[in-house]
Amino acid sequence: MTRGAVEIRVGLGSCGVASGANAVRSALDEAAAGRIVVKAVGCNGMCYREPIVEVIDADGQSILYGNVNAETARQIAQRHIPSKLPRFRPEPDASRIQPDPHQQRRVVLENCGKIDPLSIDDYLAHNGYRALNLCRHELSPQGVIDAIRLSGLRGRGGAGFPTGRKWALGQAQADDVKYVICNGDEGDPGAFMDRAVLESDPHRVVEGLAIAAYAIGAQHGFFYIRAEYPMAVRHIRKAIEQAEERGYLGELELEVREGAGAFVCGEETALIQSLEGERGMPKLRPPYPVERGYRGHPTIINNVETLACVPWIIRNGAPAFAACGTATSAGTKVFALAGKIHRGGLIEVPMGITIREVVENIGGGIKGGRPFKAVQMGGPSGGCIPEWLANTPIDYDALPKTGAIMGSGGMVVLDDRDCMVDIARFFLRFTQAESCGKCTFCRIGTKRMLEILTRLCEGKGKADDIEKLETLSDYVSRASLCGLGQTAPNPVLTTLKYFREEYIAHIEGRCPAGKCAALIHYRINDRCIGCTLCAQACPTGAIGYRPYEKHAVDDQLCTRCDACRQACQDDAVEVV
Amino acid sequence: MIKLTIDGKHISMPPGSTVLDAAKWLGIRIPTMCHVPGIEPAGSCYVCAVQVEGRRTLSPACAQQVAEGMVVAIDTPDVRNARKMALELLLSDHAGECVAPCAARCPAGLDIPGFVYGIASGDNRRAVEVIAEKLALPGSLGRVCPRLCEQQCRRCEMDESLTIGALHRFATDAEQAYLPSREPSSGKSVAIIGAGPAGLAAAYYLLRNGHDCTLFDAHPLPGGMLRYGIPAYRLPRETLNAEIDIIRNLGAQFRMTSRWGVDFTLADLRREHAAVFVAIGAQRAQELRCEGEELAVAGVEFLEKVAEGNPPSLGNDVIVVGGGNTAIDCARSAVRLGARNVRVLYRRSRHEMPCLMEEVEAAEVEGVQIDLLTAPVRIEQNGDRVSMRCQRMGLGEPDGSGRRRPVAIEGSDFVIDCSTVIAAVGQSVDRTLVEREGLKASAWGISAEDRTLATYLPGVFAGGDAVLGADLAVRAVTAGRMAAVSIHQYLSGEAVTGETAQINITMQPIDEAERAAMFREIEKASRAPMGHLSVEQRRAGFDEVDRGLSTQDARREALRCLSCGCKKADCCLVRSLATEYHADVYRFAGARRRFSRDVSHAEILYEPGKCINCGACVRIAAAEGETVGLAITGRGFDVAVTVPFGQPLSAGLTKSAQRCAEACPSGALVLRSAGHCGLRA
Repeated sequence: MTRGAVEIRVGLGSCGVASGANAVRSALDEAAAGRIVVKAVGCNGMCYREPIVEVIDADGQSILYGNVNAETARQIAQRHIPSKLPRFRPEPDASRIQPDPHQQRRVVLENCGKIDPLSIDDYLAHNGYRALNLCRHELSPQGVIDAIRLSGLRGRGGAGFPTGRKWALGQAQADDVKYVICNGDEGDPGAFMDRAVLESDPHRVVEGLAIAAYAIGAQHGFFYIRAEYPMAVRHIRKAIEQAEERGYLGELELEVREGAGAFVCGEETALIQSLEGERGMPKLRPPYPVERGYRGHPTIINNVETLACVPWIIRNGAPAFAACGTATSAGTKVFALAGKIHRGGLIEVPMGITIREVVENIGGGIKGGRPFKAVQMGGPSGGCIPEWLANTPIDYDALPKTGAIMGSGGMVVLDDRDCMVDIARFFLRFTQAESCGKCTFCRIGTKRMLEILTRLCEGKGKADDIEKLETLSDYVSRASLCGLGQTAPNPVLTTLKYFREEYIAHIEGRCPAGKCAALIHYRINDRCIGCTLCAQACPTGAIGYRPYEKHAVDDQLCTRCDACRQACQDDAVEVV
Repeated sequence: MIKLTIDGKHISMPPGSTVLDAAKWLGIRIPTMCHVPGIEPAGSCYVCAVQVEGRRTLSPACAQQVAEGMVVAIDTPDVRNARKMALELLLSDHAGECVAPCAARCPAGLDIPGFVYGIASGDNRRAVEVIAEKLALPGSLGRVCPRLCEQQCRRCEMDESLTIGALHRFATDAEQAYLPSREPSSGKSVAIIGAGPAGLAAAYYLLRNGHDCTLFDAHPLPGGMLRYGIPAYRLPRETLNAEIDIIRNLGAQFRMTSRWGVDFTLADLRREHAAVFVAIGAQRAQELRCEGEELAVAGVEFLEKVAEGNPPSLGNDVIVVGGGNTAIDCARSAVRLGARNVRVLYRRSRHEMPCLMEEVEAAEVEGVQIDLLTAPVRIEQNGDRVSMRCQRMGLGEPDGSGRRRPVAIEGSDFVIDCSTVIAAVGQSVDRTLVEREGLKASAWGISAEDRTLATYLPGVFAGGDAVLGADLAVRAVTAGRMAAVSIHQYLSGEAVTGETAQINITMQPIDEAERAAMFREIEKASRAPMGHLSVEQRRAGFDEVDRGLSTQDARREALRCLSCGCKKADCCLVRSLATEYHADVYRFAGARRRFSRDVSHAEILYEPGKCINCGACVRIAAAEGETVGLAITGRGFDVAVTVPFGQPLSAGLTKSAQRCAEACPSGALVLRSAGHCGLRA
């Protein structure tokens, strides 16, 4: 028996829109015809099932549908929208899905996918701006800083600097003019936590920044958001406007600045230069921005996710936050889970959870039942942690010991078909292309490293390449001004540390993962039943169409696209 | 005040000072490239990297602020490595060349564009001074040098090479009176065995440095192979004598007709002199290695007799065996002595001949017949004549020298009847003498260190053909100069390290766009013609064949020079630091920027390929209030300093051009008036 719905939510974050959620929304609007609220919400994190429709019934129960299209949306409407007349209510074709609650803990994402990001009232209905009011009326700036310090919150942008300490330094500066900046220049390839929060729960970040400004005594604040996030920019602008209208900002002036998409502008000194209208290039610290930042005034910069934790901490108390996670890494962390995993998307987990728990329990294990090889954490600044270290807890102390970092939250799961040299090359190509070009080692050193990795993948490696990579990595990481250069070698260093034999194999002309096109050949083994699926899949005609015969691959025509191997039902295509 | 420690020394500095400031106060040198006093530091090149104790990373001293209790190490092996690597990385992406390709190829390292500029500007004296820095006996070498430089001349890619040799000869002929100055006497004396090009050159530079030199030689006159191996029609005796006179006038003593091992020993010289330079050349003729070889006249001995004015009688039909310069010299001398039929026999093809092709061509014009792929098998006396059995050869696989090995063709024997056979198949060093005198021998000659030319005996140096085996005169002269540097170091009590070789970066390969950028605004012009004696005049005697350039032609030819090479070669920080840190130019070779040149500005030139992206110019332009100025643009490897909005450099720098060019640590921004560029620019 289905009960009548009271609210239908459709995920209209960038991920939903990209999957066609606008058409779903139109269909639902039309079907609802004003009889029920169809609410545009943000992303609930289940990106692998977008577009998602959530139906809330009169008891507050939630029913989730995934991979919805306009047609199935109409069926959902027919089933759930109450009407006076009894009618046939079949199960919609859209798949009914279960939420992903296993071991997740929602602090930052508590409202994402639930509230209408463009409605301050909806935010207010979900405890919105309560924390800011609490601060203003019941806590001194010092009290706020003490609470944040007690909570154990550390910067979620990657470095993990204690937020309370940063604010205390900001507060201690003797300057009438101070600034707070929300760093929304999320640039790691594959990371989209900040975008999701800015899009789905913008008021929460505005509230966090307003609290920060209150704590340090700043009169001005900036949202530095990359221009590639138009929806985030729009939602934050709207949120600021609404918060101003309702008087929540008081004297605080907030402004949105769009970044032009340079990765390095996530680095705080470069970000400030960019805000000042200069080319975003890092400077040697000290002086730190907290002493001399925007226009020479004390400035604190916090990441979106960090600020999104703040209202929760104030509302629920520092001990509640500290109780979650580990002794040195309190609270939760949002990750963008991707790669060879069943359930990819945004997840939020308590600190201290192990990598294996994330991969197996939350991600649902490796796709296709293949062996779990490694996870890449921290994006281009991070590293690869092998399967045999997967019991490492995710916190600020254990991860760096592996050579990876917490980073901003990218987590890519790799299986046995991922080549570690190729992975290192992928990330290094990104950092090399994003180097601001200031430091010699970062500009040219990473280029030379990339050239070495490229020739390894092309089967043109030289005997001393590994040694050269290690030397370059060492000096690039130690002789670069900012984090970009200092961490750029991490993907190379960790893969060399844990998968050195794969590098040696490449020099010898083999790619053990069967990934590097120049080093592999496709063969068809005796398991072939002559079904021609591979021949049909082959785009270059390298496999002749000969039914009921054992197929064969013409090595000259083969482009190593892997289509045949993916098409084969009998494991008859192998890479040698 | 903030207290800190640099390399164990304590200092107090005001807040906001940098480690570089502090080091300066302490008198400790930290190398810098992109640091411009008074301009906000960039801290990007990492040549000023230092280690602050307790840190994982290295810090750029120019930007690193001092902090209380900071302990800084300036010169650890790790720091030096980092600086070296920074330089190597910068060099791997440097689209430029320190010296012109001609000068880079010159065995003597002669500053060719430099002396050519002297001629072009009518200042022959300056040209000769530039030459004399690197080259003794320039008039002789201007005539006999094979001019490897001309093959590298960039004009070859456009029209024809500059006639560098002829210009070189022109300048020295025009300034014969040039006598270099001499340092005050050091009171030390050096013995030089061999008064050939290596020995004379060593004397020239040692004398200039104030040391006394005595040259010992077995021949009656100094000059060595220049006198006794090269015929007068190529190198007139007046020229050689005049150049030797310069050395004599500088104070050289000559002990002629004294033979090493007979009239004096090495031990004698070591006792009587503070240092010895052994430059005995490669005097021993190699045997033909065929039956009856004793019937052949050795080429070097023949030339020596001709030089002494005492030529042997040859008869009418002369056969010269060999394919080197000595063989052609013998053949052309034989023609001048009246032989009617002169044939040169060479066992490989023309392509493999080690001599200069223009010499072969001149010989042919004079009537010499060149028989290729032919080798002697046996020589027999036939009354007063000689008959030589020969064999035809084919070419097989390349041998150790890279040339294709001659292989005898079975049954191809034939006999030539002639009056004289001259064997000119190479010379070697008398290694028995060398070993008897207590020196060590190598496969080629005397064993000496490559860079310093020091032998294993203290104070004894060796160079030239004596070390290399028979080689070019220009290499011998260079060896003399190198030995003089080492010997001067030795006599001054310094570490003997030899000449400092500045690193040179080359640009290979050059693509079409780069070539176009180089040749922009350059007009084609053909090479100045060199006058020659007529064939009749040549056959009649030993007068010099090449007549040299007229003043007018020489100046016009000098103006064809493109003045390749970097205008900041002498003051480029990248180059000098790379030399200081022994950077390996090719260690990190990989993709590099392309060469281009902005010529829009009246005062300065901009070659972005040499930019190290330090941004000094960008900051100076901003500080001086340029409206357009300069900007760093792009991302990743392609980051470059450009003029904003696609404007030309002339629009970017309206008032700070000179300051920018002077601050630029590399040759990216240079004043048009710098170096020897002014003429065409």
